[in-house]
This record gives sequence, C-alpha cells and structure tokens, in this order.
Amino acid sequence: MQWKSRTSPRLFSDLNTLQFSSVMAMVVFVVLLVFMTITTPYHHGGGVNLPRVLHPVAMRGADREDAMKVAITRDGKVYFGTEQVHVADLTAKIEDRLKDREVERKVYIVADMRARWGGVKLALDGVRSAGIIRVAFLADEGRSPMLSR
Amino acid sequence: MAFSMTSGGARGPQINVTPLIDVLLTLIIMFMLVVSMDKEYQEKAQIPQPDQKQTAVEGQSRTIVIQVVWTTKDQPPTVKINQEDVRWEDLETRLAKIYLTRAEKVAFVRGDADVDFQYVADAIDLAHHAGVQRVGLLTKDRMVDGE
Repeated sequence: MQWKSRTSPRLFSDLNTLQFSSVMAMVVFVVLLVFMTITTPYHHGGGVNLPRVLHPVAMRGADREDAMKVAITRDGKVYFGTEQVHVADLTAKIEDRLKDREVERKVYIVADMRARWGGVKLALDGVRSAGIIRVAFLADEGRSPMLSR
Repeated sequence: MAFSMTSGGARGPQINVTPLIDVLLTLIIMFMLVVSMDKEYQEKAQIPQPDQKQTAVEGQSRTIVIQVVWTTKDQPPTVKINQEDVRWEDLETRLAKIYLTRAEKVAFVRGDADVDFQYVADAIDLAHHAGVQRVGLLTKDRMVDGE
C-alpha cells in the first residue's frame, strides 16, 4: 500500500504532463498552420508581381473571404479566385457569385505589373459584362520600377 | 529484463516537447506580426457600362482621356492627355491644373494592348493624386465624345 501511494501519483502526474505537452504542441501547431495559410500570398502559376505606385489607398475589402478577385498573370493567364479560367468564362463565373446577395459588387483585379494591358482589358470586359462597374487594382506602395529607369 | 518491462518501472525514452512548443509559439508570433503589418493597397477605378457611359459623357464640355501609347519594345510608352503628348514627369501637374477648376473630377484612361499594366497603373495613380475622383477605364478603342 505504501509502495502504491509513493509511485502511482508520480506516474500519473508524469503521464498528465506528457499528455498536456502533446496536446499543447498540437494546438500550437494547428494555430501556426492557420496563420501560415492566411499569410500565404497568391500562387497563380508563376505568381503575380503587383504594380508599384506612389499613392495607393489602403483597403480592407479584399481581405474578405467572399471578395471576388480576378488575377492576371504575366503570361496572360486568368484566375477567378484560385481557379484558372478561360477569359470567356469569367462573366458566367462572376454572375454565378453575384447570385449571393451578400457578395460585394466590386471586383479586385490582381494583375501582374508586366501583364499586357490587352490581356487585362479582356478580363475587364468580362467583368463589365457581368454588370460590375467598380473595380480595384491591387498594388504595392513604392516607386514605379519602370518609370524610374 | 522481461520482469522489468512488465512491471512498468523502467519506461522508454520520451521526447521533450517543451522546446518544440517554444519554437512553434515564436513562429506564431512572427506570423501574427506579418499579418498585422501586411497591408493591402488598391487603386480604385470604374468600368463604365456602355449605356451609362453615353449619359455620363454627354453634357461635359471636354472629356479628359489619358492615353498610354506603346512606342517600341523595352521603351516606356508615351502618355497623352486628349491626343496631346505629355511627359510622364509632367502628367500629374498637368492634370492637377486641368482639374483645379472643374467640378466633375472624372477622367478616362485608355491604353494600347501591348503596354505593360504597370504604366496604366501609374497613369491611374497619378490621376488620383492630381485630384481626379473617378477614373473610368476605356477597354474599347473607340473615341469618346468630347475627347
């Protein structure tokens, strides 16, 4: 009886500590994964280098989960959200999203600084055909790399 | 040996997860800082619907169209205000002068298809900074009334 009273609580405590540490490690790991997901930038094919302009406006709307984002990569590929789409299908995709009344009637354009304006125009035509008037181009703050050459 | 295993007295080596938690917590703090510091910026613009554009443009004495014109490969495009050549450095001051006396601070931006998007973004940005409140993007190549 004496033997039990000395070792059993210690073993129990060791097990508890071990379990607590493991659970804690798991929780922290999950939280870390969430933050990593949030901070992961766009991965549209080769990625998008945003244009750099001197006086952009800070915004919050694009952070919304339901924000409609259209990305145009340097090689002219078009993405709606994270899905690559043909530019001709863009209107239908946006119209489909607009069926949800909660969605902001604004499209955020994430275009690469070296994307041809012709390609961006095609995407904008698709956006306009869906009845959208307001667009916002995502940009980085800084001196234009091309004009400062 | 078999006796000691079954008795539960000697347990195998255990991983100490405390340093792991420390590392993970440090990473979380770093990611939280990145999230809070990483602001997103935008340049607002509008793409006028065909019928609305007609009514918006009519009645204005002279519509301002900023045109970004492709020149040659690897050369910056030229910029024009209503067909008049302007240097990129002077674009903002010229626009500021124009819109100083205007009540409706609306401008249109048109670009050649081969122009890099960066230059169009520059034109929109400079127009906003010069006092233009609404920038309309012309995606068709036709002329605008009053241009």
